[in-house]
Amino acid sequence: MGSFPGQQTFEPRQSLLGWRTPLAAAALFLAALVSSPTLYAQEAGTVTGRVTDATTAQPLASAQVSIAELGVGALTQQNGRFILVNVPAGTHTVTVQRIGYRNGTSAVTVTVGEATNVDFAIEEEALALDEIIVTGTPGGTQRRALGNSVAQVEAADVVERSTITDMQELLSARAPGLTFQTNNGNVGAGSQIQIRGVSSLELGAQPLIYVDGVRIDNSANKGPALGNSEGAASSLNDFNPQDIESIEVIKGPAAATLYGTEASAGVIQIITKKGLSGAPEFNLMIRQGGNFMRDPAGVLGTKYACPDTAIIPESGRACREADLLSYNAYEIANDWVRQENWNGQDEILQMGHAQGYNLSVRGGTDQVRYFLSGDYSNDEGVLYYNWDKAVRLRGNVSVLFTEDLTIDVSTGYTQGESRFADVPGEGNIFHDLVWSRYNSSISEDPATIFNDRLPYASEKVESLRNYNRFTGSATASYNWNWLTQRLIVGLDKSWDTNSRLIPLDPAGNYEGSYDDETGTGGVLFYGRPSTTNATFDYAATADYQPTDALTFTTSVGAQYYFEELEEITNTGRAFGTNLQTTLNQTAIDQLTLTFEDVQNKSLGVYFQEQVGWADRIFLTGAIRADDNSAFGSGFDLEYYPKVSLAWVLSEESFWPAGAPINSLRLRGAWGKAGRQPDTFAGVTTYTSFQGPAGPGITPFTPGNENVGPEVSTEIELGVDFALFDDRVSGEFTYYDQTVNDALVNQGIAPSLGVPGDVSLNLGELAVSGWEATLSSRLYQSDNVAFDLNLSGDHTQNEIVSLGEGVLESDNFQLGFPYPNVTGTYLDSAAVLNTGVYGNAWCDRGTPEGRPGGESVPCSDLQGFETSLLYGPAYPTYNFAIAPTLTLFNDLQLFALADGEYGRWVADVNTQYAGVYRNTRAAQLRTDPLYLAGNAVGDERYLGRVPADHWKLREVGARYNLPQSLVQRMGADRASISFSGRDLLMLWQKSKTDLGGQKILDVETAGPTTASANTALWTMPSLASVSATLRVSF
Amino acid sequence: MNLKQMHARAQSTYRVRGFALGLAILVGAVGCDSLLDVELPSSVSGEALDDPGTAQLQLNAIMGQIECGLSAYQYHAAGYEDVFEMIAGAYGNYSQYAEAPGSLGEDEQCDPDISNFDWYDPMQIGRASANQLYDRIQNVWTPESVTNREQILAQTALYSAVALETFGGVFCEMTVDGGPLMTPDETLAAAEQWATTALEHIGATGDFELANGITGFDDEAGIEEFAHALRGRIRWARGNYAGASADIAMVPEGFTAWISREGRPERRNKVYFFSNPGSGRVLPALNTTFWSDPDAGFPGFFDPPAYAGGDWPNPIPFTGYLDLGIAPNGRALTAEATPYPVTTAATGAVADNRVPIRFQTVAAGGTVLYPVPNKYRSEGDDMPLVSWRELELIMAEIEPASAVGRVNNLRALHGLPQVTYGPATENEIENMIIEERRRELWLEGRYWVTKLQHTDKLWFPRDFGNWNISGIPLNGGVRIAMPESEYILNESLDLSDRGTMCDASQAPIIIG
Repeated sequence: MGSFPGQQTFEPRQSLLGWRTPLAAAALFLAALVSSPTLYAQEAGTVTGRVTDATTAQPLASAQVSIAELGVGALTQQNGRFILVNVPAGTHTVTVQRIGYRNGTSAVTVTVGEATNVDFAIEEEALALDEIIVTGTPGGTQRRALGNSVAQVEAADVVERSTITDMQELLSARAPGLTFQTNNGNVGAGSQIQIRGVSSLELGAQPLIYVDGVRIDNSANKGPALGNSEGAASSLNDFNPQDIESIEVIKGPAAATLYGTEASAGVIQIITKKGLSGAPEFNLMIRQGGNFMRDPAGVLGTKYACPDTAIIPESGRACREADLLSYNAYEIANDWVRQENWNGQDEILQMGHAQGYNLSVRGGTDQVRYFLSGDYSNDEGVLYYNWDKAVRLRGNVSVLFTEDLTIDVSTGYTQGESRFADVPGEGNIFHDLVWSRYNSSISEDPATIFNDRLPYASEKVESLRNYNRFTGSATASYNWNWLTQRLIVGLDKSWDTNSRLIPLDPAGNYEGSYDDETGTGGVLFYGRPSTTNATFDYAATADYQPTDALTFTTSVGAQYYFEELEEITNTGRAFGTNLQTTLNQTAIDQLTLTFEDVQNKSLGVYFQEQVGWADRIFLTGAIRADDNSAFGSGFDLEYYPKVSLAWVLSEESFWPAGAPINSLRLRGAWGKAGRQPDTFAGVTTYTSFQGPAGPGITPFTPGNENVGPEVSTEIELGVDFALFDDRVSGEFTYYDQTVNDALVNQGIAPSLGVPGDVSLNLGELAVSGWEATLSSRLYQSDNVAFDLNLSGDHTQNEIVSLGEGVLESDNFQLGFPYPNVTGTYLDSAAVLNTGVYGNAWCDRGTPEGRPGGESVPCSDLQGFETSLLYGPAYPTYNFAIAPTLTLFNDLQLFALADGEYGRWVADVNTQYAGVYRNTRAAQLRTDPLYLAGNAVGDERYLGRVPADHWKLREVGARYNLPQSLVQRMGADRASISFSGRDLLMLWQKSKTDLGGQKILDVETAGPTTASANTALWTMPSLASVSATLRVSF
Repeated sequence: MNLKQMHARAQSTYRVRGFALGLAILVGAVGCDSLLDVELPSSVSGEALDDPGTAQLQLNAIMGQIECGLSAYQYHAAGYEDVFEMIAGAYGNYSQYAEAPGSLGEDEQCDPDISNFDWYDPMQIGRASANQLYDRIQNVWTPESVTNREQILAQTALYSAVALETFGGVFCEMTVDGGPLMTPDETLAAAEQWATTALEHIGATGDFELANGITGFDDEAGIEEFAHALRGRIRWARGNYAGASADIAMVPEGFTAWISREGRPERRNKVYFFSNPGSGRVLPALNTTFWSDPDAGFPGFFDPPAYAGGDWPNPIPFTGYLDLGIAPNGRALTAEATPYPVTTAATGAVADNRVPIRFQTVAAGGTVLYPVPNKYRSEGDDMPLVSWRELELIMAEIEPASAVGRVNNLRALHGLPQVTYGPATENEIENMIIEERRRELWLEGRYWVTKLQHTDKLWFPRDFGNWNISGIPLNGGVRIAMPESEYILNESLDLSDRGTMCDASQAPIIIG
C-alpha cells in the first residue's frame, strides 16, 4: 500500500534488506554520538566541507559523511555542509554516502586545533536500486525489490532548473506512459491525465492522486463550464510545484494492486518537502515572464472571400478565381483594435504578464524539523481578461517524540481565482477569427471580420473559478525492533465557487448563440461545489531474517476512504437591466436551484509477503480485499491478488566484473486492480417531480444491485540496466492488461418506466503497450558534460466485448479502440457543374468497420458504414528527448521536446470553413472531393485529422551565480534561469485540411476523454517565456 | 538449537500471533457494513415508495410525467401535422429510430429537444408508475392506510388511460412493461379498460374536482366528465360509435381538461418555445414555400399537390398555415387561394382566429421577420388535453347529418362565419370536418391522429424517392414506430420486430 515516508526525513531510510554500508555508517555515527567528546579533544581538529551533486552543483542534504576507522560521522545539512569534530590529527579517509548517489571518498590530513576543508561532488547512481519507493508498497520498499516499474520525478530538481508554473508542467513528458490532454489556451485551464492510455469505457482515465499519503480530489473538470463543455481546470494544479520534493507514478494494475478498487487507472503520489535539521535556510524565488500565442497571424493563415459580383450564377455560390480576395483575419482584427483603441492594445492577443513569488524556510533540530512556504502567482493569458492567480501556503513539521515514534504533519492551503476567456457555445474571440467572414465593407469597417460578436461583447462574458483548498495529513510512524507501523490520517477539502455570467445585452451582441430559453435577458450560472476526501491508512510490516541470505517481510494494512461532493447550483435568467449581474436580480420565476450530494466510502485490507534472497532476488505475493459503498447490495467483496519477482542479476557472483552491463535487474509482475462504479449505480433512485396537484416523486435512475467494480488484470515484464560504468542506463517495460467486467451504461426499455442508463459489468477491454527510457552521459570532462535522456511509450486498446444488448455507437464499437474517431470514407466524386458535385462514391468498409471495403454510392451507406475507423482519439506513441549541456558545473543549457503519434482529432474548424466559406476550396467550389465530402460526410470526411506532431516543450538555461557575488549579497547560493515553454511546433503532420485551411495546434483538444469530436474547438495552448531568480540564504 | 535459532523461533511465533490478531481485526473491519453506509440526501431511495403515506406524492408525479409528456407530444405532433412534416423521421438527423432512452437529468426533466423523441419516455414512466401505484394500493397496502384511496385509484387509472390512448393513436405497434408487441387497437382497448376502471372508482366515491384545471360552462364538471370525454374519444377511435356517443353525451358543452402545470423546467410548451424570440428557432414550414426552398434542402420535387381554389379535392392538399381564413359562406380558405392574402381572397372573408400567426424576428439582433405560431403566448399557457370542441367534431363524424350544425356551433363559439355553402355529399362533409379539425385543434396534438385516420385523403411527403438531405429512402409509410431503443432493450423484442404488426397502409418507414 502506498505510504508516506515520514521517518525518512530524519535519516535516509533503509529497509533491513539494504542494511549494508549504510548500517555500518549509521553505527559509526551512533558510536560517535555516544563517545566521550573529550577523548580526542586535546589532540584533534575538525573536518568541514560541502557535498554537492556533481552534475547540477546543487547542495545535497542528508548525506552521511564519516571516517570509518574512527567511528566519526555526521549528516549534511540542507546547504550540503557538514562538520566532523574531534578528529584526531593525521591522515584519514572521509567517505560520503547518499541513497541514489555513488559513494565519494577523499583523504584528508587533520591538524590539531584546525579545521580542514574537503568538498565532495558525488554522482547519481544510474539505477538507484537502493532508493526507497513508497507508492504501491506497504511502507516503503527499495526499488531493487519491486517487480514493477515506478517512475519517479525528482520534482525539486526539475523546479530548481526550469521554470515550472503548475503541476502538469512539472510532470509533462517526464514519465513515460503518463500523458496530458491539453484542454485549451486559457491560463488556469488544466488537462486530463492518462496513464497507459484509456482502460475504461465509462469511468474516464483519471488516476488516483495522493499528497503525502492522503487521497485528494483528482478532478480535471473543475471550474465553470466553458462554451458548451465541462469545466477546464485541474485540481492537480491547485498545488504548488515549489513545495514538491518528488513524485512517483505507478502505471498499471500489477503495480497498483495494494490500492485495490479505484486504482486500475494508475496512481500518482506527490511527496512534499520536509524539514531538515540545521539552521534555517531561506529560499526566495522570483519569476517574471509572459504568455503569448505563437505567430497568431500565421496560425490563422490566409483566408479567402468573394465579392458579390464574382459569384457565378447557378453554381451554389462558387466564385470566379480571378476575383478571389485573400485576407488575414488577425491583421484585420488588429486594425479594428487600433481603430477602437480596444483596451489600449496594439494587437488583439497580447503578451500576458506572468509572475510568481515564493519564499520558503527549512530547518530544525534533531527533534523538530519544519518546512514553511508561501507562494503567490499571477498569470495572464493572451486576452486581457483571462488570468489565474493564487496564494499557496504550506507548513510541514516533523517531530521525533521518542527513538521509536515520529509524527509528520503536512498541511497545505490554496486560495485562488481564475477567469477564463469564454463565450457561449464556442472558443472565444480567437474562433470569431477562425470563422471570420470577409465582406466588401471590411476596409471601412474591420469590425465585420468578427464572426459572431465583437470583442466588446466577448469580454462581458465572465467565467470565474474561485477556489479554496486545504490538504493536510498526520503520519505516525512507530518502529520497534522487527515491527514497523505507520498510520496516516488526512483530509483534502475544497470549497469552490464557479460562476458564468452572460449579462443582459439589449443590443443582442453576445447572447444570440446561447440556448437561452428566456430570450435576451441574460443568464447567470452559479455553482458552489465542495469536495471532501478523508483518508485513514494503517500499515504494519514485520521483518524476519532466519539466515544471513533469507529474509521475510510480512505486511498487513487497511485503508478507509471517504469521498463526498456537495454542490449547490443556481441558474438565474432574465436580468432587469444590464446593470444587474447577481442571482437576486434575475426574474424570480427563472431562478432554478439544484443540489447534489454524492458520497462514496471504501474499505480495504491487504496482506503481503515478500521473500528475499541475498538482497538480490525478491518474490512478493499479496492479496487485497475491498468493499465499496458503490457496489450493489448483491455484490460482496472484490479480491485483488498480485505476484511479482525481481532479480538483480548483476550482483550475482557469476556476473563478470567489468562487464559492459554493470547493472542489470529483471522484473515481472502480475496483478489486479479495480475501478468502482458510479455512486448511484447500485440503487434505483427517485427524485421530485412537480405535478398539477403538487410536488411528487418519480423514478430518476435505475440501479443494478449486482454491480461491482471493473477488474483489470495486468502482466508486466521489464528490465533495468546500466552500461559502461553507469554512463548509460535505462529501462524497458512491456505490459498487457485485460479489463474484465468493464462497466457499460446500458439503457433499459423505456416501457419499463425508469429513465436513464443502468451500469452493467458487461464489457471487456484489452490494453497493451511498452515504455522505455534511456539516459546517458555522452561526454564528460572537468568542465563540460553532455547528457541525453530519451523516453518513449506505446499504448493501444480495443473493445473486445460490450455484452449482449448494448447499443454500439460511433465511438463505441466492437473491435475498435476507445475512444476513437470515425467517419465516412469518400472514395471519389465528380463535378457536374461548378459548385455541384455528383457521383459520390464511398468506402463501405470491411466487416470489421475498417476502410478497405467495396466502393458504393455514398447514398447507399447504412448505419455504421458511415462511421469507419480513422484511429484512436488518444496518442498511441509518445516520445521525449531531453538533452542537457553542463558547462563549468554552473551553467546548464537544456531542452525537452516531445512527440505524439497515432491520435486522430475531429477538426470542426474544417466544417465551419465550409459554412463560412472562408477557404479557397470553399469559395471556388471546383474540388469534387471537397464538395462531396462536406455534403456526403457532413463534417465527418474533411474534419478527420491525424494529430502526429513534435513540440519543443522546454528550452532554457540555468546559471549558478558566482560564489563571490553570492556571498557579497549575503546569500548562500543563487541562480538565474531563463526558459521558454511550447515555443515551437517542430513538426505537425497535418498542416492544412483539404479545404486549404490551416489546422490549429493539434495538441489542443476537448476536455473529456471521449470528446474527440470537440477537438480543436478551443483556442490553442499558449507559449511562454520566463526568467527566474533563486536565492538561498 | 542455539541462542540465535531460539530467538528466531520466538520472534516467528510472536509474528504469527500478532499478525493473526491484526488480520482478524482487519477482516472484521471489512465485514462491518455500517462503515460503508452513505447518505445520499439529494436522492430518494426506493424504500420510500413502500410507505402508503406517499401515495399522493406518487400520484402527483404520475400526473406530472404524463402531462409533461403530453405537452411535449403536442409540440412533436405539430411536426407531423403539415407544419413541419417529418413523418418519415428523416428531416435532417431527426430520426426517431436513432433515439436512445431519454435521460431525464434534473435540468432536463421532460425537456424534449427538437431532435429527440422524449415525449415517449415520460409518458411511459408515468404509465408504468401509475400501474405500480395502482397495484400497491389494491394489493399491498391496507385500505385504511391510504387517504382518499378511491380518488387516487381513479386518477391513477385515468392517467394510465391517457397515456395508452396517446400511444394507440399514433403508433402502429406498442408495448408496455417490457412486454410483447400490441396492435393499436389492443393498446386502445387497454386504454378503454383503464378509463372504465377509473369510472368505477369515481362511481364508488362520487365525482370530484381534479387538480389539472378542468373548465366548462357546467360548473359541476369534474373528473367524471373528464373520464367520459376520454373514453368517448377512445371508443370513437376503436369504431365503437354507439359507446362513444354515450360517453360524449355525458360531457357538458364547453368542457375542457387542460394540461395546466405551470413553470419550468417540468412544464414545456414547446410550441411556445419554438416561436419565442431569442430562441433562434422557428417553425419553418408554416407555408408551403418551405417545401420548394433549395436552401432548406428540398429540391422541389417534394412539392405538395397544388390547390387552386374551389371544392376540396381528394386527396386534400397540404396548404400550410399562413393566413387562413373563412369565406362569408363558411367555406375554409387557404393561404394558397387566389387572390392572396385572405382578406382579399373573397369578399367579406375573415381571418381564422383559431390559427393565429404573427411575424417577428426569431433571433436576437435579427431583422428578418418569420411567421410564428401565436396560439400559445407564454410557457405557462395551458394546453387542452381533451375538449368538448373535439367531441363535437367526433360527433359530426359519427352523425354526418348533424355535421354542419356542430361545425356551426364551433364557428359561433369563435365568432366565425356559419357554414352556408351547403356541403351535401358524404365526401364533402368529411372534407369539411377534416379541415375543421385541422384548424379547431391546431397545435393540440389531435390533427396528427386525423391524418393517420385518413391516409387516403391527406398528403404525406412519401413515395418521392430519396430524401436529399440525408439520403434516406422514404418509401411509403405514415405512422411511426416506437423508438429504436424500445426494440433493442426490450427483452421481449428485437429490432427485426419493428413494424411487423403495422398495417401495410400505415407501415412506418424502417431505416437501416
